[in-house]
Amino acid sequence: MNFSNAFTPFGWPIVIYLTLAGLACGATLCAVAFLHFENKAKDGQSSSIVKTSLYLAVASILIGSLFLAYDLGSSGRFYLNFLEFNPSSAIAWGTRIITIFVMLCVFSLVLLNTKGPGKPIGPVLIGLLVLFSLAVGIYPALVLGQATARPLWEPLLLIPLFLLLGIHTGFASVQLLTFNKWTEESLAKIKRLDIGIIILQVILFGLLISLTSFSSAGKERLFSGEFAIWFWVGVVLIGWALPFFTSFSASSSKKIMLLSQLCFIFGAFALRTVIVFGGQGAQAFISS
Amino acid sequence: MSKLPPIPWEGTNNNQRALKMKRAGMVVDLRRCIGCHACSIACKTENEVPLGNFRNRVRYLEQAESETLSFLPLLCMHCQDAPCLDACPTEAVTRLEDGRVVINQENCCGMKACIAACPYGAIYIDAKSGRADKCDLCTHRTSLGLEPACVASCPADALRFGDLGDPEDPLTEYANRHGARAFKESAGTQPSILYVKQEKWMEQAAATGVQLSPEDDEIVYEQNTRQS
Repeated sequence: MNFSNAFTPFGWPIVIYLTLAGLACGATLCAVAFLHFENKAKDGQSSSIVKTSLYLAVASILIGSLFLAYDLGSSGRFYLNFLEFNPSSAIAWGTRIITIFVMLCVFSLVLLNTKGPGKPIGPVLIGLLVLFSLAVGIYPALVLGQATARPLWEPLLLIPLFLLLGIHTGFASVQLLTFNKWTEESLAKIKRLDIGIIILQVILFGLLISLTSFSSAGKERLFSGEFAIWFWVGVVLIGWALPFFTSFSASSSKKIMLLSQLCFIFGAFALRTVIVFGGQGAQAFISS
Repeated sequence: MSKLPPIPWEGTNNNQRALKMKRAGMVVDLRRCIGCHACSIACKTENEVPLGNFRNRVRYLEQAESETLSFLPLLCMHCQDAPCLDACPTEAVTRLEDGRVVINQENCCGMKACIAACPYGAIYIDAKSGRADKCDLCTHRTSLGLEPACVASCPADALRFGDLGDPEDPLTEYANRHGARAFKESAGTQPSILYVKQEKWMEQAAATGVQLSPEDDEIVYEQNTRQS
């Protein structure tokens, strides 16, 4: 399947970049959630999960940025993004937000590694981490949303959808990396949360397809054309159905939970693939 | 809003017409277009547009009911509310004082945000430089008082260049007299390229198979005959 032509400027590297940016957002929020509990308990039990989350956030956003740089027509001129600033461009803001975000994560990690368990990260830093991780989660939706001629990239619906996908991908990735540290009780809570997140994803995607002026030809490409496999198998089956039924099953086996989280991550990637590629193309931007 | 960049040829001689312009634009009279592609070829030659890319291309649109073809030359619309200008993170896309939208190659890193933002598919990445490029209404020619290459080459006088910001300019009068209007007005970008006798069905027809791919069953403009 050849996706690249003059009308689909955003290719695979951009899909990976957007997915990793969302993952970084989710991983940081996961770290913040555990920092909050740790501060309450003051037992230092969660510090390894917090550190893993922050390492994951930094790694994913940096790897994502490498994909972005690779995708540039002139990769050697990536530095121009830092030298030049167009205040009306979402990407220009995103570059600054990601830079500050990485610095905050690295600073937090330094504090965690030097001060040890207890209360090494103050409320101001936690607040900044939340603020910038949310900005990193929202930013991919704004990048696509700025292409107003592409109806499927409606920012008002993409923002909550991408944020939801990002947060969930981040939490699922942290779970995969720190699985032996999670208690049965917390896993049971996550199972219940998963059901709600899947339902929200379905609703938001449904609204995106039905409320926007996405052309019928575009829908055809998505549901029965070249992206049908990605949508029906990647999103619906792997991303939504499998984790949904897993969440309802009585078993809370860690292996099943692990598989469920893997399905979630792949499903989120598939959904972004469908939205990024499906939103492009000559058919998609004609609204009349 | 900071001051707009000066027109590159400001202060030089023989540029009176270009400097006077408030809104450089074009009217494409579809009644006159014969689909000969002379404008596409002239543009490619004049601007050394790489193989596979076009600043200006003529779309052949099939009208199923009457079994006839209509021709639709498409190029950068030099929108007054240009989305490419907003999307570019490095301010490589700028607007000149006469309204035309140009890409400053020095500032471009090939992010492609402008390509994604353009409702007309008018921008491409130059394979050689890796930077975005598009029609600039032949600034190098108009600075010398010449018409853009596509306008000069049109044998049917279907393309006309002038100042849409001047009510007394022949182009504005022509546009008003013949009811010229923008292509894809719904995009809301206020293009400076207007079309005479543009019909509703054309927007939808132009959206199908715009990209030139091996699967495309329409006219192949050019073929890479070089042996690899």
